[in-house]
Amino acid sequence: MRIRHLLTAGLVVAAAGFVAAPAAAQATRTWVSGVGDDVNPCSRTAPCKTFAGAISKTAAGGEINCLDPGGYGAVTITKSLTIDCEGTFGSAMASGTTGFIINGADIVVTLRHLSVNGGGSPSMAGVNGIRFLQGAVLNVERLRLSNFSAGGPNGNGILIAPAAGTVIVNISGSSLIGNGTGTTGAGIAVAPTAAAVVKLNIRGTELTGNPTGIKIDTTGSTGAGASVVIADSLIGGGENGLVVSAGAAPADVTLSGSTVAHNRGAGILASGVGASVWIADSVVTDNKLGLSSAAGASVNSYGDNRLHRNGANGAFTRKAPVQ
Amino acid sequence: MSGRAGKTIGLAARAARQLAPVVLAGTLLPAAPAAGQVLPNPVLYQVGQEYYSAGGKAFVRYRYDVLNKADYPAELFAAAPALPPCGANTNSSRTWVDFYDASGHRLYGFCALGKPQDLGSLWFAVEQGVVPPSWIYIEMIDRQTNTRYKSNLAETAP
Repeated sequence: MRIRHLLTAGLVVAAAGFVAAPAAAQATRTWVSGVGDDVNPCSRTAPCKTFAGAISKTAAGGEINCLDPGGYGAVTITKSLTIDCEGTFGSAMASGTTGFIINGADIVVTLRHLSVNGGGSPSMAGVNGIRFLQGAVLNVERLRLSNFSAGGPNGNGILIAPAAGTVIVNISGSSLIGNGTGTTGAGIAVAPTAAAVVKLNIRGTELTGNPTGIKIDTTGSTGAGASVVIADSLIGGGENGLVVSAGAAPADVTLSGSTVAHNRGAGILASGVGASVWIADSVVTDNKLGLSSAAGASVNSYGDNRLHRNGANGAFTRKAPVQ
Repeated sequence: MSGRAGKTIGLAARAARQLAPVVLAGTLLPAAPAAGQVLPNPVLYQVGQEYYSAGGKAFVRYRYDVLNKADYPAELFAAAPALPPCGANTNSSRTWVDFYDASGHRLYGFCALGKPQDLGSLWFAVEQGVVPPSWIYIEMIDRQTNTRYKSNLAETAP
């Protein structure tokens, strides 16, 4: 009798298990719309309203697309994902917060064709456009990141600050405009800590009106620091153009086919023995000071640059011949 | 102006509020909007978001304004001690304002707005990291006449 009761109880439990609703499946492609709703499944015909609402309904490695123009809000990304608003105006207004936080072990994230605006209001200043804390790869393609004006160390269009592992960040065809406040903040800021390593590739990107266009700082790193390649880009209209600071961890920067101009301070400023900048086929002009290197840093030329019409041009540390 | 969190409303206050029309029937109250005066529904729009901490937790406050707040007479928000109280507040205003999500679930409310201009400082908050309802609306309840004014749906994404 007792056994029969136990068996019955077991069957009830088993049956309950069978009838329990399955966890909602995640789609490989989801959609957001300005007139959507996050209670929807984020399908093409029942889209979501925000990236944050869509992300939980998108499978790892999947993609969120935008159906129509809209503000889709800030979001934290913790799994591999693509957000692509190509073909329409997809944006995130991020007053008082960070637009996109990337924070997942070994994840690969692609952000494509988005406008991310920090609002610029002092009372609700955007913190950072993108903050990369953890991940394997971040691809930023055709993004506009502007008006993130929180005080330092925030107030950056893109802040790459991992604490572990090697991260690769590729930025192309993007604009980073009017971020930072006073003399703090940058269009792109790289600041690895502990043993983290950053490999950053920038191509075809405009960085204007930021206190610092690109800031590479490895003084907080104990590892292999940062390796940065900048090609076909414009860095101008700020306090300083390219600022490289290194301690024991190296900060190696290659600048090619680019223009650094109209900065109120230095065009290119390097300090610390680990800071090494090599420049090819680039123009440094109309800055208060063209080049500056200090404390063992070097700013080097491949011999095909134009260092001209700065308040003071400065000088290359050494030159390598064109090969 | 003070917010009125759903959790803080006592059962007595809720019951009193539901019974308000019955109580009102035999009560002399301050002047209502002129007879026959038709007030518009509120036109709600989002002003912005604020990030703040309270009690060790991080919250996002969604702030709203009512575009046509000037269309409402001041007496609509006068203190109404003869009407049921709002919790311990026996001097709450004649008109209460509640936030709802699109499915009609109440989110938050205000029972002590002092003037129509206070409709420009409405808000509700959710814990940071929680996806808010995509669409919300407000309902103004004139407790004296038991008239409800329902707004348009407004979005929470900035």
